Amino acid sequence: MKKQTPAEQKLDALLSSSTVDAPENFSDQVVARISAQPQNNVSTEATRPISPTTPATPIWQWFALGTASLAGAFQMIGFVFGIWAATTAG
Amino acid sequence: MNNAVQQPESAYRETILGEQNDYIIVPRKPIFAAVMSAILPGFGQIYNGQINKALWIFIAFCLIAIPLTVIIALYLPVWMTVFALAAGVLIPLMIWGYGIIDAWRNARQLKNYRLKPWQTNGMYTVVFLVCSMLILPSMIFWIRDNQVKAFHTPSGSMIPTVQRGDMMFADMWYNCPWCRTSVSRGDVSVFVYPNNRTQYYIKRVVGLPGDKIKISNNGVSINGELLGQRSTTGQGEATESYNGKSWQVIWDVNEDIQEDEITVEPGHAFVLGDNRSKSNDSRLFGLVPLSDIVGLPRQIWFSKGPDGIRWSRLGQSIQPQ
Repeated sequence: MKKQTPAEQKLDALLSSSTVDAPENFSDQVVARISAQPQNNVSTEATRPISPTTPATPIWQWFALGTASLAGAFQMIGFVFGIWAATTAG
Repeated sequence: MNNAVQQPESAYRETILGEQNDYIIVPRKPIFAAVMSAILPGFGQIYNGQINKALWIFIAFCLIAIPLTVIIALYLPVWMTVFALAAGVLIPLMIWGYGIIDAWRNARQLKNYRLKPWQTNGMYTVVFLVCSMLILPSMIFWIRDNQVKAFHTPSGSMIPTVQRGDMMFADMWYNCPWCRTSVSRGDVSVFVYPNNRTQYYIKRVVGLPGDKIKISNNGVSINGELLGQRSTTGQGEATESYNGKSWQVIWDVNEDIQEDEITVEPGHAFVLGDNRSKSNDSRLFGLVPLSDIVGLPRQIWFSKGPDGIRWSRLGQSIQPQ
């Protein structure tokens, strides 16, 4: 049997436990304790960037892309029309 | 994910059931996807992370479209060859166009694309080099060497069957152990010129191993059977036939032919040009090894002479009927 990861063990334990009986008016009590609404730009652990945005692409990379595109396009045309290229037979 | 939309190219960390996962959100750029698909079918789909679709587009383009139509073309009647091969151009072009449009449209929807670990510039380069510089050229070389090859004739040695400036498709699946057809007398064949192996010649196979070929003022005979009486009037045109096949040849009406007889050696063939008096053929360069006979011309797909395009020759069959 495959060894479970700690996360899977936690999940199994959670699934095997019995459901908790919530007291009456539980929702009301929770809402009553909320003192402020969350702001739209709150950064949580799940969405907080851990590195800056990538820098702009250098010009030599654009040059490489253009060269490769030309080479690729010629290659494609060569393949599609390759069998029509005539060899001399005297 | 609102945050990811505001800062598009950023790294993120998420915690799922206690495990930390780092990932990068990089929106797909439609122009990149389209250009990549334009230089290699399926490449834009790889950029979009759609591996299965990329594979199918590439397979459909290079492994199915052209080889399949070429092989089908060789099994169809001769008059359909050019049309079938034209379809072999149109189908890949359609797949190519579909790949570009599909890559563009999908990339537009991938605003919050989570970059996969293997999507690096190095991997893109390897895929491009392997597919574009290795697989595609190998495919076209395989097709040209083993299935169909186009030839152009600059000489008039095969007049009237092949005119100077004719372009034709030849069946290259010919004269080999696994091939569909073998060399037979009367075939117009393409072979490697014995005195310069970088050149191809096109001539008619007249004699096979063991045959006795006699050339005289009467014409050409094989094992004592005259192919056709030589004409000594008009333009010198004559009809030759052998084993149910017939073809036209031209002799110089003023030429006095010295009688000559030759027995074809094992493993060789005796070839002649249909323009009998103006042809460099086995009478001059000797016998041709059978292994050097590589192609069987089927149909003329283009013809241009000094007076322009010869429309009446387009689509004509080359082999004797």
